[in-house]
Amino acid sequence: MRFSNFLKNYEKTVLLILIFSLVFLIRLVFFVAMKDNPEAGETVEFSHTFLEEPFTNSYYQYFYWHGVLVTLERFPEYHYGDKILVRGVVEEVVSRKENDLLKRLAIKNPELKKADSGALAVVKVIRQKVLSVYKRTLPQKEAGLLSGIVLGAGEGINKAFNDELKTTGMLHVVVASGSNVVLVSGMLFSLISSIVKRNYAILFTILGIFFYALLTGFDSPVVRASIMASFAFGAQIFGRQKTALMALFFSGFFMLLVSPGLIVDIGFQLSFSATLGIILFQKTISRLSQILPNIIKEDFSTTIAAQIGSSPFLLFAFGKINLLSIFINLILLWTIPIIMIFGGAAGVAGLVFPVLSVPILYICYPFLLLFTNVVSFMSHFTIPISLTGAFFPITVLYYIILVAVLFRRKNL
Amino acid sequence: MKIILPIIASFTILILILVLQFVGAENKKFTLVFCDVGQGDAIYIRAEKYDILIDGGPAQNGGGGADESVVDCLNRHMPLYDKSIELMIATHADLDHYGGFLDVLDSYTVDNFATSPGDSEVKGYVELMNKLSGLGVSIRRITQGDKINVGEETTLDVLWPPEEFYDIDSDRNNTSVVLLVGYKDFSTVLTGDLDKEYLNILLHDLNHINVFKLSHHGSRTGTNEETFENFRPDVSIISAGENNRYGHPHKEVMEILNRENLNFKSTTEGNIEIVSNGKTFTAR
Repeated sequence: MRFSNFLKNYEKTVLLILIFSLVFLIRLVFFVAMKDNPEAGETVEFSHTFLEEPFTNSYYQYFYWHGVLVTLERFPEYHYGDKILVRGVVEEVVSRKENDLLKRLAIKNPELKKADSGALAVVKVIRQKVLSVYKRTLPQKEAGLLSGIVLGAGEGINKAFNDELKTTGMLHVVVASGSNVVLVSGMLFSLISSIVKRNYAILFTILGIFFYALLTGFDSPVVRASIMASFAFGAQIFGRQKTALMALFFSGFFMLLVSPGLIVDIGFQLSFSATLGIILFQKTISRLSQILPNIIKEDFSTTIAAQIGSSPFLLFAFGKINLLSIFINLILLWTIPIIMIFGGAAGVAGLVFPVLSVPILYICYPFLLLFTNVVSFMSHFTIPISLTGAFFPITVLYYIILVAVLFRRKNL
Repeated sequence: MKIILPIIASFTILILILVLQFVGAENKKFTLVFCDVGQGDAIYIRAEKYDILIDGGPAQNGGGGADESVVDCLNRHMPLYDKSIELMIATHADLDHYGGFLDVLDSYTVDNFATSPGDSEVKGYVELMNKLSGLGVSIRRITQGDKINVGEETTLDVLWPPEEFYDIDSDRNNTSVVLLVGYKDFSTVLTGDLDKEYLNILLHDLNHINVFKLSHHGSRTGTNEETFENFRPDVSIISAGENNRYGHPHKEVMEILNRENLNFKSTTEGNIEIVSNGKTFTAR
C-alpha cells in the first residue's frame, strides 16, 4: 500500500489520533504546571493504605509517599490492607547508593494513628487466607512464586529468588500489574466460553475480572487494567476486533486524561500493551497451536499474545536486559496458565474448605518446582546488554513492525 | 484427554519427591542444622521424628545480610508433608534471634514455645508473644536445671539462666538460654549470646562436647582464652553474617581458634548440616 493511499483510507483515524494527542498534550501541560510536591521543612498530614507490603530492614519499615521516603519503627509491623494516618515533618536526608551520595526527602518516625481500612478489611482477610493456604502447604520459594503469579503478591519471595527472577527477566510474572489481570481475564474468557454462550461468557468474565481485582486489593494498576480489559471484552459483545480496539483506546485515553502521569507508569503501559496484544493476536496464535490440549491452548495463546503486545515494556521495565531472557520466557511461560488455574482453584478451595486445597497445590508443586529451578539455574548464565537511551527508538520500531505485520494480514 | 498427561506427569514427579524425602528423613536419626540466615542464630534439630527450632534468625529480608531466611532453611531440611514443629525455643529477646519466628508461624504449626523467664518490652518480641498466644501455642519459661526429653534418646538440658538471675544482670544477652543437647553419645552446646564471664563457668563443668556454637556470633564478649582451657569441642560453629556491621567474628576470637588448632565452620559458607547416629557424626 502506498503512503498516499494509506492516508486516504485511514484519513479519519489519523485525524482522530491527532486530535486525541493534542487534547492529551494540553492536559499534560496543565498537569506538570499544577503539580504540588511536598517540600523540606513542611509539616504534612496524610493517610496511607498499604496496598503492598512495606519495605523492611533490621531497624525500620518504610514506604514512599509522593516520592518522599517515610520511615516507621520496625514494630508493630504493617501489612497489606492496613491504613494509617501519618503526621510528620518533611526533611532532606543524604544517603549512599553504591558510590553516589543521594539527596532525598524523607519523613522519619512520624506520628501514626491506625485507621479503619473499611471494605479493604474484608479483602485483606480473604487475601490473607488464600496466601496462608499457599504458605502452609508449599515451601516458601514456591509459595511466594504462586502468590506472585496468582495475586501479584510478591512479598513472600526472598531476596535471592527475587534477584534470580530479575536476572532472568521473569520478574514480570510476580508483579501486581495489569498483565496479571489481562492474563486472568483472557483465561477466564476462554474457559467460560467453552461452557456457556459467548455473550454470557463475556459477562461472567467481566464479573470475574472485578472479583480478581477485589482479591488483589483494588490496587490501582489492577483496577485500571480491569477497566481496560472489561471495556475490551465488553466491546466484543457488540462487534468485532475493531470495536474492542476502539474501546481499549478510549478507556486508555480517558485514564490518561484524568491522570496524565500514568503515561510513564509501567503498570499502565503493561496493561494497555498486553490487552492490545490479546485483542490482536490471541485468535491467530490459538489457531497456530493446535497440537496443545484444548484447555491449555487458549490460556497459552492468551499468555503469548499478551507477551507479544507488551514485550518492550517487559524487557525494559525490570532492570538490565539479559538477552537470554527471551529464551527463558519462551521455555517457562507455558507453565503460567497451569499454575494460575491450579493456584486459583486451590485459593478458592482454601476459602471454603482448606483441606481440599492441599492436593490441588501438590499437583501444582512440580510445575512451580520446574519454574524455580530453571530460573535459579539460568540465573548463572547471562548475556547482558546495555541499551541505555535506546528504549524509546526500539519500542517505536517494535510497534511499527507489529503494525506492518498486521496491515499485511489485511484483516483489520 | 491431553490435559491428563501433564497432570499424570506432575503427579508422578510429586510421588517421587515425597518418597525420596520420606526415605531421607527416616534414614537420619539426628540432624542438627546451623542455618545461614546472615547475622543471627537459627538452629534446626530433627531428633527421632521431632522437629525443634532454636532461635529464628532475623525476619525475612530483615537485614540479616543473607539471601535466605529461617523458613527457607526449614524448607530445605524438612519434608514437604511435614509442616509441624514440635518445639521452638527463643534464647533471648534480640531481633537477630527471634525475628524469623514471626515468618515461621505463618508457614508452620508450632506446638510448644519455650524461652527464659522475664517479660521483654521490646515491641517486636511483644508482637511475637501475642501471635503465639493468639495461635494457642503452649508457652513455657525455662531455667537452669530444667530438662526436656524428646523422643526416647534425645535430651535438652537447660544450663542457663538461673531463676533468680534477673535481679543481678539486666543485659539481654546474659538472659540467653544455654542448652546442652544430647542424642545417645553425641552432644552439642548452644550458647545464645551469653557473655564469657558466665559461659566459661558453665563450660568448665562439661565433659567432651562434639559441636559447640560460639557465643554471640564469635564476638569477643562471648569467647576468650579461658573458654577453651578445659574444653575442646570437635567442631566450633560461627553464626555470623557476611560483612556484618559488628565485625563478627572478632579477630581475637579467630586467633584463639587458630592458635588452639580448633576445627571451626562458619554459616557464611551456607547452612551447616551435622548428622549423627549417636556415636559418630558428619558435618558438611
